[in-house]
Amino acid sequence: MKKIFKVLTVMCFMGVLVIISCKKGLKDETFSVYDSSKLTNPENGNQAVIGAYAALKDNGGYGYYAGFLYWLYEYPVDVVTTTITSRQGIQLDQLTYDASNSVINDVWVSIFKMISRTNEAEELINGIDYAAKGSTNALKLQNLGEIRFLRALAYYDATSLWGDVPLILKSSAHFTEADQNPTLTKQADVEAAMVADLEYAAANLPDSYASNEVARATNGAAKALLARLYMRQGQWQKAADMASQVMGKGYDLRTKAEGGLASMFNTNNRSDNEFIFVLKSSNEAGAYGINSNSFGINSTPWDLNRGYGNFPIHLQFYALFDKNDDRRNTLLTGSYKTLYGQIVNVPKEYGGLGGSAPDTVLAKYVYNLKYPAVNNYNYAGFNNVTILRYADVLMMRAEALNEINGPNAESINLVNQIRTRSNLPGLALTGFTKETLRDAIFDERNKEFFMEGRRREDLIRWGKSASNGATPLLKFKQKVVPLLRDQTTYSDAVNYQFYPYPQNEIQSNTSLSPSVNAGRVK
Amino acid sequence: MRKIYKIIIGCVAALGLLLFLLLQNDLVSSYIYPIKIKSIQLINLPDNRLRFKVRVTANKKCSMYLKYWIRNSNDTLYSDLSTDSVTHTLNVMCTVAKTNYTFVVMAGNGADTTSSNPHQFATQSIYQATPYFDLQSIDPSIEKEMKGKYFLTQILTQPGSMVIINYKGDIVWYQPFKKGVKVTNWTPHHTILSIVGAEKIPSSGGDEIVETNLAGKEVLHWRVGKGEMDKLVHHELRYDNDNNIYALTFDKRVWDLTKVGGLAKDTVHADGIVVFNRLGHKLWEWSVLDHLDPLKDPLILKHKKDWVHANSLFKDKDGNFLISYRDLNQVWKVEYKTGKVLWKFGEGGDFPLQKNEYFASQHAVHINAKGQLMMLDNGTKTGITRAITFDMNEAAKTAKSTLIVTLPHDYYTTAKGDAHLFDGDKILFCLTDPRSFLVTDKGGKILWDIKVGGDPYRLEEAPGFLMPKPVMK
Repeated sequence: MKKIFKVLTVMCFMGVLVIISCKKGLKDETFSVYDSSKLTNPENGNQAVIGAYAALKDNGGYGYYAGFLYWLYEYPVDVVTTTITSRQGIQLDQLTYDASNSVINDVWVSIFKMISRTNEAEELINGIDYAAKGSTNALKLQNLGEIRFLRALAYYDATSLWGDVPLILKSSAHFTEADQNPTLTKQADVEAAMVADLEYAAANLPDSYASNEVARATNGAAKALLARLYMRQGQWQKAADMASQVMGKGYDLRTKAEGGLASMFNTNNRSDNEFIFVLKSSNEAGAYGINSNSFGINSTPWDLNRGYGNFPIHLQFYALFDKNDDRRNTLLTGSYKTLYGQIVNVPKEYGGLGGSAPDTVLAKYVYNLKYPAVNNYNYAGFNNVTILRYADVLMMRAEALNEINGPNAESINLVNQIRTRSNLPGLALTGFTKETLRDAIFDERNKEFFMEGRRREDLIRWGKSASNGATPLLKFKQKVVPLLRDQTTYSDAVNYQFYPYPQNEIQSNTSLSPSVNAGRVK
Repeated sequence: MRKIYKIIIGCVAALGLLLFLLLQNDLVSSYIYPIKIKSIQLINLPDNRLRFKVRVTANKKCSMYLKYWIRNSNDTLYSDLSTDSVTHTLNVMCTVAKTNYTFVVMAGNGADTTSSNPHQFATQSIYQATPYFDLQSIDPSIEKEMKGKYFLTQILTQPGSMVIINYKGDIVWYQPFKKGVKVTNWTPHHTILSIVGAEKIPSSGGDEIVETNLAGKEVLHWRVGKGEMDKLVHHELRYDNDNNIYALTFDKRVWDLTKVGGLAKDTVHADGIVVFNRLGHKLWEWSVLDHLDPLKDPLILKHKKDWVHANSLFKDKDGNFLISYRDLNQVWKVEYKTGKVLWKFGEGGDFPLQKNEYFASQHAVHINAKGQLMMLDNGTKTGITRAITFDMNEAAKTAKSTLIVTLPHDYYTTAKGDAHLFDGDKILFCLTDPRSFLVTDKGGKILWDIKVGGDPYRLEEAPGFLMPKPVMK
């Protein structure tokens, strides 16, 4: 018995020693170096916010919302196609892209640049005592709201394109070694962070700004983006409620009397109250490459006004429209006189005027006129790039209400506001089922929002709704495959909902391996 | 046998609990373990190339300081001491530019002491001020005592700076400003009090009063037009023994100068004295215009923009002010509170002087460590600059020079500058025109000579600049 006590005592003693030595060995002193901030005035906070807005166009020209994002959103789906001149674009258009596609990489980098800027701005603004330095705490909260809105927008795009992405919500000053090589965060967790950001933004952003600050995010913008997120998640009631909160905030549709949709996209009308949040660009000489976008030059064809015609639209899309639809007749090149004197017409079988040589050339594609390049033969386009507009809010509410309870008068009324503005008769409630109204809404959305970056997500959401979540790519496949040059390109083994993570990221981020792209590329 | 199993299980459970607590909880473990340094963050300060902050976290409350040294050197320097905290911010405040340093954090609490691993930092070049001070020569006889000395001066052009140099002329501390730093004063609190103002404000004048500690923190910042500071200050800014701040001010008054050919409402600009308490409350003000009649100056129309030109102010042990008037070649004693002019000393003054004792355009008039009146006699009438000390008998209105150190003609300065006793029996000079800092012996032999890359206003020793080795309790 005594022996056992001795043994136990020795064991305990040794155990404590082991623990002590373990503890010393486990936690060693850490050493880090960083620069202290000397940006301590409210004006520095404002500069950081403006810098974060500027990230929307990255380096201008083609960056992020100034161009490449729309390549990822528009090329793979059924409206916009591409010409044979751009290999990266063709890969996206024909679903032959892989992880080394440079546009995928560009957008990834742009998105995380904007996230980084917002994180740094948040850190900076939090460290500035606005009230003590002659400004107000309300402005501080607004500035924080603005950058949190922008961060949520960046994560919205990131999760739309890749699903799970690294979630980084802090300044690099607080990075640990693990943060240098971030792992992928589940999309649901990223979305929870976005909801927190957007709720904060909605609570702290104003309804509107002075006319010289119209490009800034409003609480309406935060709520509209939140509604869009809830739509993507299938949280219909929340989406419907959020959309209704944007209504009655001073936004309205540009009416037919005001010139209709075409006049809203006119470059002389860049602050219409149908716009909720847009990428603003400048037409000033020095804006090229910094404060410009490339939509104008890329949208129209050469023989119309020396555009590059990089967003040709399938004639099949033109054929979807009613011949009285203003959107077809004012926002697509159904018929135009070329620089060389010929008339280009859409063939009759696609609803166009048709005609024959030598006076008339039959169009192979049509082109959008939402980004007119007026007297502006360079990349310094100053078109608004629509990110959120009021028509989308109305259509979201209509769709959400239909998903909740099937067709009702309010949904029909909301859709009809969009239709009648474009010279179309309204729909009647009778005869619609939930399914047929859903299809009508998506068809209407297609005609309303073409070349505004919405179609890809719409097809996926439509597929989910139509299959009760079972086959998200149902509609994508149905609409996209018939237009592929080689229909065997489409593979059921690939989840086209999500793009592959860029090769550059996999190579530089030690937390990622090539296996993350399994099922995302052929 | 069962009992044994119970005991064993009990022991294992206790061990497990202990292990859990020790690994998880610093509160528990801090009672058992000695002080441990957990993290060290070196903070570069982008607006200062010589200064660093180091944030250190320990496992429990303790005192901390840094010791640091130039790599491959034996001279150890110390940061300030931070006490009774888990997290400490320590300041590295004495370095030279473009040099690699090694530092170690020392932490302690009673007998329980520890030190960190050695870490590195490197200083950058100081773009606005290198090379600005250049050691020309040093006499071997004073090299040893000069080694521990540091000197405060200023860059009064824009961008300005408070500057502390070592005996080799290396800048070891600086604090930059967009405006010029016109005047600096090393305070008893080991801070730097200065007049800051745009270059275009004349007469070493400025519109801001700034006091900065060695860590670079502004402990006081007043601006003209805010609070009770309603006039520009110039030439002098000091603490008195009651911790009040006194300075020279610019004053102006409308005067009828028709008798001498001026306007009925003419403006005469002259000087005053102001005393503030540390909270910025104005305690006392005095103006020369209450004590001199401009009409008695036959050249007042020429002088009215800067009449008589006060250029130094010093509060004597009796609490009254010594004010130096360059254009009068006089020093006045002004009674504090009543404002009465007690006496005038110098040319045409109340004290008879020998011919060689008269001074001209003098600067930096003060009472030195030996209780004598001391000044830099710029000597604008002779072209020879000197340091002079006087034994004053104020009651009998007699004065006798006790020391006259005459500098070679090469070191003549028409304006600015100062001369102070240094190290007992030597003289420390700042000479503006020849752009020199000197140390001489009583006979005027130059022992130390620094060339300056700009126009210095003053130079003074900064005793206590170097942090002594901190003592941890």
